[in-house]
Amino acid sequence: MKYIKSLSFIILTLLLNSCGDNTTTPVTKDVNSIGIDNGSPIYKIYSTDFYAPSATVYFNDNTSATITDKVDWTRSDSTMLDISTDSTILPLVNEGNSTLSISYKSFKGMEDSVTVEIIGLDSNTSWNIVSDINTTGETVVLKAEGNFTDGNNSKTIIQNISWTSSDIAIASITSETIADVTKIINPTYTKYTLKALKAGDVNITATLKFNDINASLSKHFTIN
Amino acid sequence: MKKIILFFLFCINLFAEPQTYIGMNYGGTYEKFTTAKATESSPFLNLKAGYGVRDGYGVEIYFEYVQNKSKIFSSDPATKYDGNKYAINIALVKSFDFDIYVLPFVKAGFGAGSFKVARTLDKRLSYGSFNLGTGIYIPITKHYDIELGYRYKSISHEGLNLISQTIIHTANAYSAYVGFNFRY
Repeated sequence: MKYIKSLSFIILTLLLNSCGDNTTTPVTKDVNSIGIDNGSPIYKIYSTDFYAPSATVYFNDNTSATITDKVDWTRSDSTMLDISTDSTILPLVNEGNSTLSISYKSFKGMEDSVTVEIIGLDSNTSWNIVSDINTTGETVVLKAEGNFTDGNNSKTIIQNISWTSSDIAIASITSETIADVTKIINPTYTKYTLKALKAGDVNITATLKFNDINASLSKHFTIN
Repeated sequence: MKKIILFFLFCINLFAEPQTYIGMNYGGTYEKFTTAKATESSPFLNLKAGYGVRDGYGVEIYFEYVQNKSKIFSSDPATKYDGNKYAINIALVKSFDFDIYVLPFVKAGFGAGSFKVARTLDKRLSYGSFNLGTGIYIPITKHYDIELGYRYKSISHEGLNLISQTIIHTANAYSAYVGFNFRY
């Protein structure tokens, strides 16, 4: 009997305990929307450059987080832009527009898009080699600059350019893949370095080739 | 799973005269989250079916309905409460006959359930639980008994999808209930 009384008391206590408060405010923030690079509507990208956009999720407590690698990236025109698996965008034409979009698992409202405007070279000849070298043992990063349709006439050409030497005994070229660490997803580009090995004359040729651009440019160097 | 059930039935048969029983429990549950400052107090109803002896081993399966009166997960302002919870649990029961008229028992088992939530990316949330219980059977006749009990549940909820991360909430639930069983 004593056992029953004790147990009844415990159960009664617990019953009263179960009549506690109910939380009526959500304890976990929720997703409001997602966007490309903080919602800017238009992106301008040079045709000889690359673009590494990021995607952001916005929460209902006014915080946000980067979700670049968690969304699906698509473009409206596959002949204008290429998207690599790490979401790096590469222009495929010298000029044009394409819509770049993100979505998350087909959830309604979980999408965003921006217009990507490709700024092109003025013409096949509107670029030049700016690097210079003249002393044996010297090394220099090969660099070409172009005149673009937005008026920028000193924009470094990063993508779609390759370099060759007419005499590798006089000047050799080495290439190195570089990651752009300023981006969350690190796009890569190739850095070409010229090294003067001995005295003599050499021609360094840059070839710019992609879709509607196919041009070569040579520069003569005399190594002392 | 089949082996576990067969093992339970084997144990039950060792103690002879098992009976099938059905029953119902009604009580209150107090759930306190360990991952957030949140509590929930709700009435619940169990409908159960079991097999075993009243003063020995038994195994029971019970359906649980919890009338949810909290809003812990839903973010939609138009939603008053998270959805009511529906769960299925299974438990092994051991009761004792100390010749004191009532039969104390202990239970241990596990369960799984779900409830609706109104969130951007989650519309229903599942949860799993490990359950421990104790209480007494008060025999009325050979076929009927009243059950008073207390149950503890360790609950782990399905992760909430925030795209950038998944947040899993866990909670401890304490329930007290009264019920009856019909054995045949």
